[in-house]
Order: sequence, then structure tokens, then C-alpha cells
Amino acid sequence: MLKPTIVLTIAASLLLVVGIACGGAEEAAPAAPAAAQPTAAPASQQAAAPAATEAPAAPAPSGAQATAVPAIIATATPSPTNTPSAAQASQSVGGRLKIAVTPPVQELVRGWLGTTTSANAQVRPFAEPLVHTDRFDGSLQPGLATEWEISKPDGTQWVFRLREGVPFHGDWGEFTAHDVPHSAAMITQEEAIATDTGLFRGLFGQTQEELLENIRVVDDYTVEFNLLRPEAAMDFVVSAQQGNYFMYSKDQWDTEGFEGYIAGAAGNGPWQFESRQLGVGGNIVYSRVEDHWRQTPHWAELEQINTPEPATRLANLLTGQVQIAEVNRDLHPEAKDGGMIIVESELPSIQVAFVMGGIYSPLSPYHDPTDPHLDVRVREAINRAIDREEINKELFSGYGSPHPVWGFHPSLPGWNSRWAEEFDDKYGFDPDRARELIKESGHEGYPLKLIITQLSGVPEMITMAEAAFTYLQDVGIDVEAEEMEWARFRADFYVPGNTHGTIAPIRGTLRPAEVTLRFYNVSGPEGFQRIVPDPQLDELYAEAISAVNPDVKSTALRNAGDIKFDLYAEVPIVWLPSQIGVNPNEVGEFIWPGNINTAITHMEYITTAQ
Amino acid sequence: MQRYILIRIVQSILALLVLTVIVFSLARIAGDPLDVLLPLEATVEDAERVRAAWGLDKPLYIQYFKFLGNALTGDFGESIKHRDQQAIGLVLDRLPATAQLAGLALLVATLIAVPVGVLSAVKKDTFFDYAGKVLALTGQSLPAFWLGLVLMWIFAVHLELVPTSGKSGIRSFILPAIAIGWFQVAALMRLVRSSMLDVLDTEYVKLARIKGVSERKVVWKHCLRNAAIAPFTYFALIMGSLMVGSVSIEFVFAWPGVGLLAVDSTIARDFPVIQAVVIVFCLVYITANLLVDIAYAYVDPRIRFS
Repeated sequence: MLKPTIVLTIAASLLLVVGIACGGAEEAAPAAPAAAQPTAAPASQQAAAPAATEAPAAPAPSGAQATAVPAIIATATPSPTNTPSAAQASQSVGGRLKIAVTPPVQELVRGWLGTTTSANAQVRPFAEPLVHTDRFDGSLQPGLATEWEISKPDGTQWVFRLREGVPFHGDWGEFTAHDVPHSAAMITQEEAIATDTGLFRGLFGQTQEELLENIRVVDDYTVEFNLLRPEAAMDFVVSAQQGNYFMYSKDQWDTEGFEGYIAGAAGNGPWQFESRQLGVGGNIVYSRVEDHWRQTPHWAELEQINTPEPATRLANLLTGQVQIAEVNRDLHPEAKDGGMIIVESELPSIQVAFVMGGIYSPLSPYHDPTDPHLDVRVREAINRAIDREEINKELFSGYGSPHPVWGFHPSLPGWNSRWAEEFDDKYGFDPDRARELIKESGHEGYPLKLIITQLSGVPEMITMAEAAFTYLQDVGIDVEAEEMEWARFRADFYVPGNTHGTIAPIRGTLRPAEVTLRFYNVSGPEGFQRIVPDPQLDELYAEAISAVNPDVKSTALRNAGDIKFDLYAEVPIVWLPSQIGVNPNEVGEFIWPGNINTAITHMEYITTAQ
Repeated sequence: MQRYILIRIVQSILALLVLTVIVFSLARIAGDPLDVLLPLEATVEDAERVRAAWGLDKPLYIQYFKFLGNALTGDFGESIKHRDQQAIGLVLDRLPATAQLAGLALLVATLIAVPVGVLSAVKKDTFFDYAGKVLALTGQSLPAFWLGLVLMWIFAVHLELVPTSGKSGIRSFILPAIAIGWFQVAALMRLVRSSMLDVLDTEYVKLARIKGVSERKVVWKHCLRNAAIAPFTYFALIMGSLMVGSVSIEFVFAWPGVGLLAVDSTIARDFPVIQAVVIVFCLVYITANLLVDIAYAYVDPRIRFS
């Protein structure tokens, strides 16, 4: 009687398992093109090519576009990036370079479907932006565009000359000017969620027709951008530092449409996209492009493996399962004990701060004069209540560097050395002074909601916010902490007028100061990120973005920084470098700037160990 | 018998229908996918544009009926996070990895729980009994997440016997299967033990012993076969929970399974994938239970005639 039961049991279990296992072979059919907008026919080719008027100027550091009017500001002069270093000479080709990475927010091969960080990590290996970023100093360098100039003094027209003879992967022909508006059409389409989709729509227009009209193909190797508003840093805008404006093949689009792009969009980077398995535990694989026009990789293949658990990434590195891994700062000692080395980006990568809510411009409908954060003494007190040195030492293992003003860095235009000199005096840890200031302001014991949340790239953010809770309570503020995931925080507080009585941690990347000003410090959509202690910031921002003279621009930015610094607009904490664990027995040199939205980039330059 | 099976199938379909409402509602309570997927600096206008482009601006009841209608044809829609990928395709792509791991974990649990349970029952209130209980309870008390990391550190990093993570051949199954399987040992072992104790006390076992049948044969042949019914029922539940509950282990071992896809989709508020995952998991549960019920009815006439 029992025998058939057991047999049935086993059979049922096996059927279940086998049935499930067999189901996975089914491949999902690609969706029909959704918001596909075909690109327009080539524009008129009548316009004369812009004249070169000056000798090439040396590219400025990250985002500091030394723009003369009108002047060619970059040429195909060999840059540090394009010159092989000693370590790169006579390199042998390695096998598959495996990198264990934190799973990106979006997994994509089409750059317009994700943030700049996600796109730079996954798209940039195989697709190129127009302007390249130097791996040593983050400066803008010739890439697909060999030279560029502002061709109207008001900064509303730019002309880019393109490199000739650059092929797309997979026999999709040569990269030409026709691919430039096509790629812009991709990043501005209705469903695009790229970081810079809004920016591009603001520069070129809301509709595809406007966009195609404003990006004019002059000839196969010259393209003209006619902008709806002045933009003095268009070379930065079309670099990978700004966002996801990578060049895709129009020919592939015209032939295969969306389905071809889904299967594998062709780029012209040093790596060719091969395959991808979505999700955690999945990967993305690229193969080396032989005799690449910019840099032929030193490894035959590149694989990024999505590994969410930090301890597992470390274990993978220690056992040789990968050659490079993202290792959290608190695990660095274990990595070093295991013979690994920690490599830092050349430039700082992430700025960490707290932002105080309710600092709406007096012109804003959400301005509430009774909000304690509108009192500069309260803002100074909060700044003085927090022990940055201790946070840096205990939480960031001492890797942090001083950060006097949110959005500003010595490598960027607009920096004022006064801020660093006066920082200790004005922002130094002084809880007694903080208590006095709170008392003087009349806001003693005011209720403050501290949001404890986490953003990618700073795993210490929650602990940092918890530390702030203690610091702020200690100076007489009635702090209530609330922990919430980032998405909920965004849903609840990125809403007009909702930020009164709050303080929250935030992080940003190394980017031109005007970008930070645009997102945080000028009047506009009244979401969370509106910290306007003085409406003069609006004017200075407008002046900065319309200035084509670098000195004028730098002065405007510096003045804006002065206001932020003197009025304690935010609570800047530290600048952090991007860091990565490397197996020195297998990997030789790895240099990347770190200023490209915290992403690990420039993997084509990674050499094998000698 | 046929009527019984028909009733069970109808019940299963009704359960699935109710489930679609629950899953659809709960997925949306989690929040707005745009809060996760849009860049930090996206404006309200950006959010509205993308919401309209993705069809998330439609009233909920319209979204529900669209989902239901499509789901009946096996179409759960396009993933919000992984644009242009079908939700069901993502789930089915990863289901084999989870099923294989769950199957192996079930084997591990069985291989440990059955002998230990039998031994505990036969040697009741002795050292073996206590040791068995400790072994089983240890598995249930240790968080699978922590156990996975410790096993990895010892056997992969220090002894280098198995890979640290990923799915790359049979050796890569060993650590995650043990980490998940051990957790199930306690319940299964206690079930085997109590069933064995009941059977060991029956008249026919005493008769077998009086007739001089060897103790080994009494225990492993006569007793275990009869005591296996209850654990057998539990297998279906274990298989289901092993598949659903492997999330933390998939996380630790970067295992490309459905569990992590479910978590990832929940975090990203990827409604179509959440719905596809839950409904597929429920189908697995319901099917497993249905099969067990049918098997039960087949072997036990009291059930099919009641």
C-alpha cells in the first residue's frame, strides 16, 4: 500500500522540478517599439564649416572648459589619455578581466534608459561620447569630436568636427555626423529617463522635430548645435561626465529598429558588447576591439558581474574568481591582509553633505519666514554641531578630504581658496558655540526631523545620519529620526513645500558648480532640492551659464559659492574618492579619473601584471 | 476521484484569481517606480512625462483589468526596470536556477533529516536523540545569510574547495544548497521523529520484533515506510518555501535565481515583474499542493470518499 505513495511522491517532486527547469528556456519576445521616433533625414549641408581662429588651447581640468570666443578649444593633439604610459608599453593581452560590481540601479545597453552612473558603467565600455574625459585629470579631450568651437558669441551655437574613419562595431559602417542627431533623438524621447534628458530637451526642444532642426548636419564630419538657450559648456554637456549622450549607429536603427538595439546596440568604443544576463548574479560581457582608434584594451574580454553582497565581492577577489572588485571601505583591511591593493581614483568622486529643508527663496510660495532654517544662526549652529573629523576618521576610514562648499571643488571653475582657509574658523566643530547660536536665534529645542536614508556609493550614509542625530540633540535641537528607503523619502519630500523642518543626508558627484547650483540652489521646481538662502543666487547662476568668457563665468560661480559659504547654505561633510580592490598579481596599472559620476571607467587602459 | 480532482482544480483557479487582486494592490502600495528609477535630479515634469510614456498615469482599475486580461494569455507586460524585456521572460529565465538549487537543498535536508529523525526516535532520550535535536535546531537558529557567509569564508576562501559565488557548475551548488537545506532540517527531522515514534509503538511492529525480524529491517523497512506519509506531505511545502525563501542565499552567493529578482523588482517597484514572480510562485505552490492532494487521495480511500 505504501510503496505507490512513495513512488508517487518522488514522481510528483521530480515532475515539478523538471517542469520548472524546462520552462526557463523560453525566450521573451522583444516588445514592439514603444515611443520610437525615427530620426529625420540628413539636414542641409550648405553651411560653411566654421573657421579655426586660434591655436589649440590646453584643455582645462574637469568641467573647466577654457572657452574663448569664438575659438577652437580642442584639437586632436595627443592627450595624456592617448599616450601609452610606461606600464602600457609591450603589454601582453590578458584573458577575461572579471570585475565584481554592485548591481547597478538600471541594467542597460541603451544609455537613455538609466542614470549617468548606470550608463557609464555599462554603456561607456562599448559606446563613446563625442568628447572624451582624460583618465589622469578628468579634463575634456578630443574623442569622436576632434575639435569644437562656440560659433556664436552668445553661446547659442556650437560646431563640432568629427573624427574620420571610426567604424561602428558589427559592420554598421563609419561614424558620421548623421549619428549625432540620431543619438540625441534617442536620449530625448518620451520614455527616456537619462539624467540629462531634461537638460537636452531644454537645449534642443521638446519635440523630435525641434531637436532635428537644431542639430544640423553640416557635412559628414561636421555638426552644428543650435541651442535654445546659451550654454557655455557644451563640450562638457556632450561628454560622459554630463550624462548618457553616447553615439549610436543610425544605420543600425534604420535597418533593425528597436529590436536591433535590444539585441545589442552597436557602439564604437574599445570594447564590443557581447552578452548580458539581467539581474543580480547576472553579468555583462564585452570583447576587445582590435586596433581600436583610441585605445585597444589589454584584455581579450571584460566581464562585470553583479554581486550585491560586499563580503562576497571581497571573497571573489581574494580567491581569484575576479581580478577587480568593489570593496567597501570597512573591508579594506581584510582585502589588504589578503594581498590585494586598494586603488583610488585620480580625483574625488563623491561629495557628501546634509541638506536643511525649508530654505525656499523669499519669492517662493512655499517660503515660510518662521522656518528656523531661514535663520543663518541656526544653519551655522547645525554646521558647528557636527564633528566632521570624527566622521571622516571613524566612518570613512580617513579617506575623506575637506569639503567647504557643496558643489565646489578646487579642480573646478569658481573655486575660492578663502573657503578652505576659513573653513575651520567658520565651520569647525564647536558644540558650545552651536548651543549659544541656537539660544540666540530663539529656536532652542525646535523640532527637526532627521531623515536616515541611503544612497548608492556611500554605504556609510546611514551611520553618518545616526551620528548626526546625537550631535544635533547635544546642542539643544529636538531631533526626531526617521529611517526610510530613498524612494520613500523622495516620494514624500521631493514635493513642493514639504521640506520644512527636515534635514537629510545627500551625495553628489564631481561636476561643474553650475550643475549643482541648477539642481539645488536656484529657484525652480520647488522640490526638496531648493536651497536658496539668497535670491541673488538665481542671478549669479543665470550669469554663469550664459557666460562664454571663462573669467566671467568663474567669477559668477565664485560669488555664488561665497554666498553659500557665508550663509551656511548646506552642511558639507567630505569629498570621497572612488576606490576599488585590485589583485596586483594579475592586474598592472589601473588609472581612472573618478569624476564620471562615481562610475568605474576607462577599463580599456587596465593593464595586465608584468 | 474525478470529482475530487475537479473541485481541487476549481479551488486553485479561484485562489489564483483572488491572488491577482492582492498582488496587484500590494505591488502598488509599495510605491512609485519612478521614485527609484528616475535620476536624483529629475524634475516633476520629467516624472510626468515618463509616467505617461510608461502607462502608469492610467486609473488603477484600468491597469488591473489590462493586467488580468494579458495575464490570462501569459503576458505579464514589459518590465519597468528592464525596458523592452517581458516580465514573464525574466522570471522563466531565472526559474531553473532557483528550482535546481531548491531541489538540491531539499535533497540535503532529506539526507540529514531522515536518518537523524529515525535515529532520534529509535534512540529516544539518549545522547543520539539530544545530539540530533541540537544539529537540527542549530540549522534553524542560524540565519541562512550568516551561515552562507561563514561557509563561504571557510570552504571557498580558506580551503578553496568550492567557488565563492555564482552558478558555474555542480561545485557552485554545494554551499548554497547546504545553507538553505540545513534550515529545513529541524522541522523535517522532528516530523520524521514523531511519526517514527508513533509507528514504533504500533502492534504490527511489536509483532515483527516478536517474529524475530532484524531491528534494522523493522526500523528502515517497516517503520520508515509507514512513517513517511507525514513528511511526504511536508515535502511539497518545503519545496515551495525553498524556492521562495532562497532570497538571502541568492543574495550572498550572487545566485541568478528568481528570489533575488523578486526582491530587486520590489525595490524597483517593477510591478509587472513582481506580479509575474508572485503568480508563478503561487502556481508552483498550488500545483505542488494539488499533486500531493491527488496523490493522497490515490493512496488513502478515506480522502477521496469523504
